[in-house]
Amino acid sequence: MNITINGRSLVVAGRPTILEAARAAGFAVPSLCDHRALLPYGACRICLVEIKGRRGFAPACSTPFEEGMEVITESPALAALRRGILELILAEHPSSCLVCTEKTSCDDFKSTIRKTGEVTGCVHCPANGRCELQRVVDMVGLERVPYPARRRDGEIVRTDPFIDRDNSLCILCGRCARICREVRGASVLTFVDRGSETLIGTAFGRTLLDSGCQFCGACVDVCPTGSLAERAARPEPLPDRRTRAICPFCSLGCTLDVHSRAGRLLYTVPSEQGPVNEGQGCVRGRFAVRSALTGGRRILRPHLRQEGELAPVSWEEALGRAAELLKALPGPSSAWVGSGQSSLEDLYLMGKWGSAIGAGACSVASPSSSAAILDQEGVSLDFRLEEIAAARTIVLVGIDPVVSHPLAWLEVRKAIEAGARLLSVGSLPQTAGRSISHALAPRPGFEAAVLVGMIRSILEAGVPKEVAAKPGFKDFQRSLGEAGDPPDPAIPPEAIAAFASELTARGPALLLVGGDFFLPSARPETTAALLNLALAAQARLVPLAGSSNGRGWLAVRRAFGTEDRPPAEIVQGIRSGRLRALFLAGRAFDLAGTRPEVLIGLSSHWNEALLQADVVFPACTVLETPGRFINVEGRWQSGDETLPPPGESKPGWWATAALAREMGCEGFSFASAEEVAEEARQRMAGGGSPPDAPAPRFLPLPRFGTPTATDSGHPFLLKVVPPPDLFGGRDLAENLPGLGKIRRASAVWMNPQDAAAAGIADGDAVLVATASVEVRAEARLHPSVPRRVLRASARASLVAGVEPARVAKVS
Amino acid sequence: MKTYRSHWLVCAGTGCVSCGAFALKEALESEVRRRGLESEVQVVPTGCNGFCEKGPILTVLPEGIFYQRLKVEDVPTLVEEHLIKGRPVRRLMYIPPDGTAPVPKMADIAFFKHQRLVVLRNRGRIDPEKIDEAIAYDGYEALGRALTAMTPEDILAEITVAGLRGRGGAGFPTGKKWAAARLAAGTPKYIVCNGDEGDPGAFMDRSVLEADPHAVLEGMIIGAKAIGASRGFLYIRNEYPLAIQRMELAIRQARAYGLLGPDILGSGFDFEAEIVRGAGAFVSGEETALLASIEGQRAMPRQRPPYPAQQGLWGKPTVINNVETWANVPAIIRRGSAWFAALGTETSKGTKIFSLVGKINNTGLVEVPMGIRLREIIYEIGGGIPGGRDFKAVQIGGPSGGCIPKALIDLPVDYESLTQAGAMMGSGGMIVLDEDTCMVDIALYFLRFTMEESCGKCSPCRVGTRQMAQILARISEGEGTEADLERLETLAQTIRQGSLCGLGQTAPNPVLSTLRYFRDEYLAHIVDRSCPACVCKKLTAFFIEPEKCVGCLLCLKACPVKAISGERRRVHVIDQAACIQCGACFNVCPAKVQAVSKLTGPKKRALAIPEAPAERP
Repeated sequence: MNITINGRSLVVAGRPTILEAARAAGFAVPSLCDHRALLPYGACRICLVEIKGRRGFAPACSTPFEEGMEVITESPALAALRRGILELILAEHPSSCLVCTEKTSCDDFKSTIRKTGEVTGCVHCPANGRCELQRVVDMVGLERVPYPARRRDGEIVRTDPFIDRDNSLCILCGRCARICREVRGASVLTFVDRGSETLIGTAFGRTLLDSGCQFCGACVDVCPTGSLAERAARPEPLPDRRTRAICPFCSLGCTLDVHSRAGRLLYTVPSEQGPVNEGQGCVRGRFAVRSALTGGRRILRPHLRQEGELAPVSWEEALGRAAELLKALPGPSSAWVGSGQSSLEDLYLMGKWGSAIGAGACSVASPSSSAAILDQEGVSLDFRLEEIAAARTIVLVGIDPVVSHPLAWLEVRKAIEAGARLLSVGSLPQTAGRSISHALAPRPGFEAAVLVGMIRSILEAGVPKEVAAKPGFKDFQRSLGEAGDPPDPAIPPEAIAAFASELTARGPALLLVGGDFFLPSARPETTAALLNLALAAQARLVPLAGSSNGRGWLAVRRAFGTEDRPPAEIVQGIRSGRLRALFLAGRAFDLAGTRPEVLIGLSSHWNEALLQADVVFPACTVLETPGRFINVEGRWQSGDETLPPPGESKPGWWATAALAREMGCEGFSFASAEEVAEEARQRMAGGGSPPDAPAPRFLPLPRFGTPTATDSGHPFLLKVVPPPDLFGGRDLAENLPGLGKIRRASAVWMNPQDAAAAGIADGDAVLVATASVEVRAEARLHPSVPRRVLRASARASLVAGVEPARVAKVS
Repeated sequence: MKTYRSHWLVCAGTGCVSCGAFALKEALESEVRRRGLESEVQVVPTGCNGFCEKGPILTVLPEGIFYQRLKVEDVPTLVEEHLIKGRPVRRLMYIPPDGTAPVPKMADIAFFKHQRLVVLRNRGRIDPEKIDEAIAYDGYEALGRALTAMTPEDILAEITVAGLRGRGGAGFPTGKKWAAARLAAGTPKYIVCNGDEGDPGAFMDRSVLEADPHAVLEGMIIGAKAIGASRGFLYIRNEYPLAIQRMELAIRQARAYGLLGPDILGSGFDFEAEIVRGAGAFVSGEETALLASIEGQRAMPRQRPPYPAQQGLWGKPTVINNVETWANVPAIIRRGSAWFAALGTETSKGTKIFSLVGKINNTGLVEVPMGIRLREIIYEIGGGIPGGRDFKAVQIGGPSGGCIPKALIDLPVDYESLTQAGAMMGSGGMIVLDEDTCMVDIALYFLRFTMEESCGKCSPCRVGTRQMAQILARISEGEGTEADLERLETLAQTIRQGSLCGLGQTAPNPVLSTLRYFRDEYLAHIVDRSCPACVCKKLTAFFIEPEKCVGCLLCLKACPVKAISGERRRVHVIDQAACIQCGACFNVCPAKVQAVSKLTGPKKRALAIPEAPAERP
């Protein structure tokens, strides 16, 4: 396309807006409401330009170039108009500093005076130095505002976790409301009132929390002023360094921009350059990193138990003593515990060490994670997030992606916008329940039976040739008659049939599988039913790993043939005396009152188990040592070295290698993380699913187990699941009260009908009792929880599992 | 078909209904029944006659006698005298403002005589709730022709040649709009009727919807055929319950007759229409905001282009016209483009409905040919200014329009002339102002309206109107400076050039047009600190002239703040410090006494009131 900007002829590809083309050609056009992640809006009117042959002025952001169009971005008329508009905007924005004649010299003396409640000018503003209004004022060149200043009524809203809202700084560009709706699909923030009383707010003035906000922080990140700000970062000075890190919390592997000053982390923002997240993130990556990684008690030096007390020693002494202790015991009586959130280098060397000494057991990721189970069955885990957006039918299998995998949810939302249907099977309270067209909520223990019911329904409608030709189909068909699957008493067969026909109605469906379906423990019939359903429905199976390096661990596990055991088995091994030494690497571990003969720890933070250890090594966090992570799609990613390691802490892999060398193991000489990664890459064949894995086959159904029964005293089934935000074995929400509020960690979820029958209202205090424990909790109601089922997340007094229970309101 | 000796047409437009038209109709019916005349007399509720101020209105056919301001108590006399004895009741007839003899026949009343009914042709003569009556007056004849004998191109050509322009404001050529939508890529296409009439004092669309809903529906179906749409929406503001109710009924009846729905009139053409109730924001009348509202979003305009004809509802080509435009369509198809083009001026064809309100004798709704002179509307149809006051200006085009001064009273009413004069056709609001109107106050009133009704999206409109209103308020309080006038003009320029939608772009018009024609009045406020019309409270004082006051205590009792002191038969005095300038004393002082006068400027200051009551300590 041939176009002309300010008299310069250009040839551009596609159909860019005037703003895009002008900026690409190097012409500076000021703008405020425009944002790359959002649809053109044309509200601030600062980007007005002249188009030859058209009357008046057109906003560059929302006018696409047309062939032969001639545009002028700078003229006296435009300058006057832009100035006029900017004056109006500044009439409603504290601007004393923007137009102050002393502003250049003032910059040198800025300090942290932003703690003031009311912002009257730039130096008090949380956005000072980052404010786009400041930039635009410089571009347009404004010396004074000829109007009386108007401050919008109302104080800074601090009622919500993490986010402060200050309407007096708002220029109503609408970016926050737009990103909330267009990109996040949440529509929590919106315009309220009209005319000159227009504000950004929520429906009925509720809190963000009560409006269904997930606190992704996207609104804060697009706000061009300080109107929406992260409360914790508000009083902080400007960062002097920006680096990248891979978010350590979930398997999506968002890239975060880490802002720090003088080696101190200030805040993290989802990176616009992130290949996975493109500027988007979630509450964990946006608000939890600082607290999780730099909060708490760091281990600064190696420690050694001397005369019953842990005391700081040198690395050599600690390594020597640890090697001595471990070598004294035979390899098979040693076990190690790792974390799926450790870097690939860390996990690889732990695996290699375990293999070198012939360790007797290990426990890393939750062995019941859907990815681990399906990986074992030869299901390829590689996929691309875009595949979700392209699907026409998406089935959520035991997953609430809004909470557990927010970036995947954004893709689901895109699919829905494009007309896809969203189905759900599982007993989770679905945050985005409104988007789900068909839902089945099997009772715990009946999950597999419901899936088998779907398979029956699909096969009854006719078996396509491709399905019948798949390996194992005949055996499976035979087993189908003998499985003895117990029908879920609350789900009529017609509902299952209707669900199955929805599932197959629009071509191959995509099954997004989470861990909840397999909790509390993976039953073979559940795995078989899910695999067989995918084959029978010719659907795409996408298991979403739980932890940030879950995929990396699966590759390490395969490389060393290591078997991952549940934590309870490790505890059992210690108790029985089979396991006598334990190496805890990067994960808080509940020893449940046991104590192995030898306990070695490697961690960045102190935890309860480490206080009992014989030797403790201080480890770096992901912000201090760039490690590699394989995300849920199979993407290798790594971040920058952001912060200096505190004290004498070292990368985890370095400590493991040093210990192994000290123990006399061969092949542990590495000079850098790169060397470890290179060896891992070769040994793990790239880390993806093995190319020689057999094609998925139908699995014969095993005999079904008996579901947990209830009794008259305990008419409910209580399903206790791990909290959604685990980091290094600890619940993030415990250290971050804001997150606790959002997750409602202490809630027990139940079906509204059950609640009504028991006289329980949403938010009531209830007492949940099983045969062994009694817990007070806050009742929350959700229709996607099955009848006579209670759901809670594991806390000190509740252990993951399914048990009969009763519930009653307490006054 | 049954025939009746006499038809009693009771106006059942919203205006008459609010004065008791339904009760009147029931009383008439029961009176007719009581006298056993059911088979001879038919009582028919009709759409709005437009002469709302005189409601409830009754027209008796075939004589064409016009009765006004009827009460239920008048019914027995009326039936007895007119129906039984054949003596029309002069007492209940219309008396022209000059106070001469009553005018018995509707056709002879000046208000009606000069009108030319095209869109409103069925007003006052059919029951809008009966599709048969609409059909009896050629309703759906044009549809039949369009669907069976015309191609979409034929229809487009007819509308284009007729020169029909949008009646909602900007006057965009309808044929051109339709052609763009027909050519635009994308299916399905939609038809939208904009019935979100929100200008203060305007009720043209309500009246059309209430009086002849089938004409609107018929126009939409013809438009749908022309552009290839099969679904339409009527966006009617929720404040028009009667219009919504009648349109719902019309849609049901049309569907039952096969005039709406699948395979209309066996032509194979399908069209469905549904009503969307407006949520009560003035800006919803802006076409892109209206479309957003139909889509379920907040009514906020978006940048054009793309125009709705290219990308409208849900991103699909959409033709959106206002009620009056749609109602013109069947007439053009039925009587031909040449007939229509013969009405009006070179550039503005056909007729236009205006709501004539303000300081005018005959308040109401009038349909006049384009090009008619303002003088004719105000003095002949409108009957001039009441109370012997002098005509000052007429505000045309709603909040986006402007004030046209007395000097331009011979201006022809067409799109171009009005725009040139600083006003605009708008949707047809016409507010007559007399000499007691302050132009600064009027400008402030309209600006506050747009300020409050701005959607808040774009900064020039949202903030600019507020700033202009603040300056105007300052001027009206006598605190303005001459630099303020310049500031107003610059601001107006910024808002006009910078705003996103028509609401903002035209919001400064009331200020600009009053500045243009009544600058001296602004200067009076600023320099002399006086309000020539004695309207602006801060610049006006009420004063009881001692030589005239008879000491009747009326004003003393009426004063809400007890600012008047005095005794019976003693001269009353207003305590200027306590007075709030409400004007109650002025209004109650008997006409033959007229002791209360309004003072402004030096005369006011001469009263030696402590000016600007001390707010500072």
